Amino acid sequence: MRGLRLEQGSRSDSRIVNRFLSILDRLSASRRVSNLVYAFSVTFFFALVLLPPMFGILLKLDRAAEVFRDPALLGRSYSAISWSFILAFVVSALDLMSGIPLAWLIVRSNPKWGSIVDTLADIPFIIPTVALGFSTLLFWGSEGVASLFLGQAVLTPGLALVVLLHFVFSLPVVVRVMVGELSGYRETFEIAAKTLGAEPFTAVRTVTLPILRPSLVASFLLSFARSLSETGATIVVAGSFENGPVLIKNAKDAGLEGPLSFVSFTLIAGSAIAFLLIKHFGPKLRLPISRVWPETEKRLSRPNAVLARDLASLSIFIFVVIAPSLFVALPSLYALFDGTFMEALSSQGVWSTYWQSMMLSYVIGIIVTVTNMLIGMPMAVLIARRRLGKAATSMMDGLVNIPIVVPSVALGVSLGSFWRAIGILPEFWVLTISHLTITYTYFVRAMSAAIESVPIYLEDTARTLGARPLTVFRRIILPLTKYSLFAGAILTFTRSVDETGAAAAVSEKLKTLPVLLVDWVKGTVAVSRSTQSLGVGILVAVSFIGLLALRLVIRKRR
Amino acid sequence: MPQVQIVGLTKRFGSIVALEDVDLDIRDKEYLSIIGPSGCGKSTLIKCIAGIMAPDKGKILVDDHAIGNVPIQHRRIGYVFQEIALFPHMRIIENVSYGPRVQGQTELSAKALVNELLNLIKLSDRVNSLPMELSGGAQQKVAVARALASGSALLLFDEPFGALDSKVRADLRYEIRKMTTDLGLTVLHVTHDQEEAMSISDRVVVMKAGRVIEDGPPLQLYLHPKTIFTANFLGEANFLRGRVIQQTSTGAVVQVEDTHLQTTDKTREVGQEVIVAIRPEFISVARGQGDKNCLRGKVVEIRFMGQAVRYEVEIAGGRTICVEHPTCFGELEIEPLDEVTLTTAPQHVMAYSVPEQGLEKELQLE
Amino acid sequence: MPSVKLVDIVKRFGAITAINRLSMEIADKEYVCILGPTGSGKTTLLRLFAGLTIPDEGEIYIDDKLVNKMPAEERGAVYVPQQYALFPHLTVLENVAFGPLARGVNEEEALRTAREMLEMMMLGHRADSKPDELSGGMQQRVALARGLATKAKLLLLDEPLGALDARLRVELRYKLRRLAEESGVTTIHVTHDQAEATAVSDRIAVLREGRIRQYATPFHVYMRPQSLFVAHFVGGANFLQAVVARRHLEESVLELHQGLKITVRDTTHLSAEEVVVVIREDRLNIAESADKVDSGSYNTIEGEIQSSRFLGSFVSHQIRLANGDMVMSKTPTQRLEKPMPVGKKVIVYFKPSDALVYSYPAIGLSRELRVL
Repeated sequence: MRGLRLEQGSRSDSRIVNRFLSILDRLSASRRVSNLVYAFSVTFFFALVLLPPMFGILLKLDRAAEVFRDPALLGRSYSAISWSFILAFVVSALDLMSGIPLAWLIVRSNPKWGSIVDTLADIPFIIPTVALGFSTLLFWGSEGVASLFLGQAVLTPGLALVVLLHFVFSLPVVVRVMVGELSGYRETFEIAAKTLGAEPFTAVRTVTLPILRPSLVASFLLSFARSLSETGATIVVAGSFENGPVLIKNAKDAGLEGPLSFVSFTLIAGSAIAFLLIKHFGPKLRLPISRVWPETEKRLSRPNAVLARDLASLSIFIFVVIAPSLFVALPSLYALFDGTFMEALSSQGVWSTYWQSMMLSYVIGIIVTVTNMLIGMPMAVLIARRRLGKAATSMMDGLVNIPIVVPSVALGVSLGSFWRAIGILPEFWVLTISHLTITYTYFVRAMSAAIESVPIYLEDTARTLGARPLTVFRRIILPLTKYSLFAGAILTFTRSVDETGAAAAVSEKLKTLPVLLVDWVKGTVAVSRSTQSLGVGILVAVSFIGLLALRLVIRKRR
Repeated sequence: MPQVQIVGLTKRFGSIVALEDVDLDIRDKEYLSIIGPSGCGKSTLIKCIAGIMAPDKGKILVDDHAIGNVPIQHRRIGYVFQEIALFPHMRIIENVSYGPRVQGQTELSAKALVNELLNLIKLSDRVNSLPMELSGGAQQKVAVARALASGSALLLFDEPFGALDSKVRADLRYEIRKMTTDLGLTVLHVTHDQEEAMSISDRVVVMKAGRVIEDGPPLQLYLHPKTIFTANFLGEANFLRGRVIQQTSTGAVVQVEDTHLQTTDKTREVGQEVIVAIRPEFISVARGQGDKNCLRGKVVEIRFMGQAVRYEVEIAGGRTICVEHPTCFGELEIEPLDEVTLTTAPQHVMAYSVPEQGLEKELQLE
Repeated sequence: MPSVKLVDIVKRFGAITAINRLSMEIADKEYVCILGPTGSGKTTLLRLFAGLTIPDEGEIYIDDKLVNKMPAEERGAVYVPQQYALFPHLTVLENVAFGPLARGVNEEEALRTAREMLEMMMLGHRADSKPDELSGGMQQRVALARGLATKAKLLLLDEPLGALDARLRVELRYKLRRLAEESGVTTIHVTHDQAEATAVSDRIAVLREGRIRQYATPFHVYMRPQSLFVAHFVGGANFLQAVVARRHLEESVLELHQGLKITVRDTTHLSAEEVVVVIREDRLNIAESADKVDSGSYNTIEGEIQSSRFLGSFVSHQIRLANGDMVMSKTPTQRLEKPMPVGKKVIVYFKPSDALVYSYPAIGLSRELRVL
């Protein structure tokens, strides 16, 4: 008797859910309702993501102009800005040159090894950049592996270390994009070239790479953006070198509003222009494909040459990328046993702020992820299905990309100035909104790409079978994109937790974990090397859980 | 003079057998088609010949040289893909001259050959277009020209017209056939379209489930197929069960339902159960009762097909026979539900042993 | 009472007019094929029926109800694209039950209907398979079952046999036709294959550049094509240029190239001076010598065999006529048993009533016939 009643109860629950869903379903069929949902999503985008930074810039234009009165500050600002762009350009070129052979290795060689390298290649992406910076600093410094052989630091904080660092954390982006492209690439064109007599090297150079040019440009742009934007790690290893983000942080600490605003705004304008230029001229770049050197390329195609190339790629990868990235594990493990760990667990001294900051970072992360998923989904559908018509959709697509094109620290500065001018929001919410702005793009891009890959004829057929828009979304689109949904959510969350630049620009009293760690490592807050290592180590360990989750999800999809 | 010999070729993908011990000889300047249902191994076969795939076992000899270890780019075998693999980022002239250029020829020396080929396919005026600006049929012609420009005398076509409209397909195949004949090339053409294969080939090879079933000139395979599968695959046929009741000097007599059919098959034994196959176009249908030794039935459907009228006749036992009567033979005054008689000439009645796995499985096309 | 009606439909995509003032009526339970080359607007037309595209001008009526504004999910017109569009994440049974479930039928009943449908298609044993485990032909049947399970009245098929092997296409097209008949649905079947259209439809609508060129039974489209394009697209035909030599109501004389004279009976287009004579390939016969042909009832022309092609039930010959014109002739294999050798001198003959006459097109013959 009792069992039956329970069953009836659950059945009536599901009936309520079904009733609710069918009401929503019928609503979704109404043009007005669906337009409302899309309008809300677009409005949210403009009101919270796009417009505040723009207004923030306008509000502070006069302060920015102050810098023109001080030649020394002006010179310093120009220098920092130029260095930002030069660095970004050089590093992206280096990343392409190393990333392509690596991606090739992953996709075209033995699947077991390829999969291992593939997983390793994600590491610099998952490790929060402040940890990356710290690890790199230690590795190449006087306490690191390099010094074991030379007795002194190989590299001290400065330009060289910055270049190495930027090279390291942008490489996974290039590898990820190129692996995706190569896996989906129809080898037919390459095979056709070979049947016509082209050696493998020639075929790749004259056929495959030109066809993949859009993704080469895309990975260059992503790498470029990351380098321009990166703050946390750069601060850690910059020493006296100043690029844009470093100068902004230094100016903020010193209370110099002028250079702070000036450099921020110039970076924003400059990166937008650089982006447009690369996007426009990149595809037009004529790769040298008309000339062929059959003898040389035959030699380069031989197994020995291929092996040499693969070994070189792998060596650079292991010794320049992976080892420095993971190096921090050693001192962290050491710190587990020298008493620092006990201090940490008992929240002694600086550790109480550590746990508070961690809590803050994760709470913000969760709020930001959930909000972006709810608000970004309609936008993703709008873009993927071109609901606004071709021209408006590509404009929207471009606008949505702005938060990642623009350096996050500069974004933080303009957001901070806007919300502070309005004055109604407490610091916690300004921080949250800044994180939301930075991560909005990730979710929308991941979802819109996934939705676009669902063939539209599946939707068309479902509609003619009688399914209303909400049913089509629930029963066709969502099941087929659910892995991208999870991946997008994980990506958003990790990016939010990792965010240093904007958080540093916005924060007054509250410090998110990366910002706190920057203070620890730079010495702004004096802590022992052990404490630094453990603090960074714990953050890395927790981020690795994120990596595992991402891997599991992606593997399921494959 | 490329003549090709394939010996014992075997290829497996996990548990799936794509090719099983395939032997095949291709003569110099021969135009050979390989047909079969999807998954029969025909694409795998030519991919192994081209070097795109490596067989697990067996040998491939071109002009008596084993080419098993030779990489794709040194085999000098032209390949035309179903997906029209013209390089999208190169203009037509660059596509066609790609072969000579990557083999070290200068632009100038390649130019003459390229222009000649473009003339041959009547696309000289499109040299500077991009592939996507051309129609599907034109693109495939360029793909053939490109393969020829690279200096191959042996061409492999992998369902080359699959992506095209049926009308375009029909015209294009004759154009390509003429071109390859004029240039004295050896061609291996893979297709699932039996009409395409029969209309342009010197010889047709029928494959099923990784094996060669039979091969021969199109006419011979069509009129005298050695297996039920070939009979069914190359064209339509009516299949009926029967038993041999007599062996005469001209051939066996088979009892089918309540009639006796004369065949020209001299290999049967009296009492043997057989399957009799008759093509629809070789059956004559006439109104009325007719004399005692022909199949009788009732017309259940009549469809106008253009060149022929198709009658579906239900005979004793509930089976349906399809008859196709060419319209140029004149109109038959037959209406649905009419009683009709069906007659056929002995040489068109083909007899086969009952297949082990049963008739249904043997006739399966996928 | 017509089941579906289109009145003056216009549909544009930017600068391209895909459908150009098209009207047609389809009767209840009729099986209509829309035949045309790629780019003629066939798929757009189908999508207009389905409600997936809205016309710029004109009206669409289903069962006398104006449905222009009615969304796709309410029209009761099921669309089956060429790829079948089986939902890859659902089993075969769940696919077939999708329609009823989406329309609010309760789960038990929907599954029952789905199972019945699958049994009818003889696929009951594959109910729990995933679509990618099925062969092409089976997938097609599942797609049909899915559409019919919604008890839709209109079935819209976009090249339903296009993805299948040639031989399978021939076998399955009759089954497709039978299934539609047994289910009592009105069917619109889009294809570029004229043999297919001729074999299965009650009526064929020949589409070119967004306009219907002829809408009639297969017999009429084949035997009495209304235009040169229709004659060319539906079945093979020979096109010979001629001038009118003598006009007469019952039997006229036309002059081909080099003054070769033939008699024709078709009087429809004889007001023009320059004409095109159309003779179907299977109406052009070959004889080995002139004494085998009754020159009283046939036009006879000398010719030489250029090539021969074996097509299975027919043999096709290319012949150069005495006046230099090239023609194609199709002969049933039964009559010939072996193709004629190249170079053989033959007599080409045809009945005057088998020649159709059309006025010479202003834009030139090759452009008029261009299929692209």
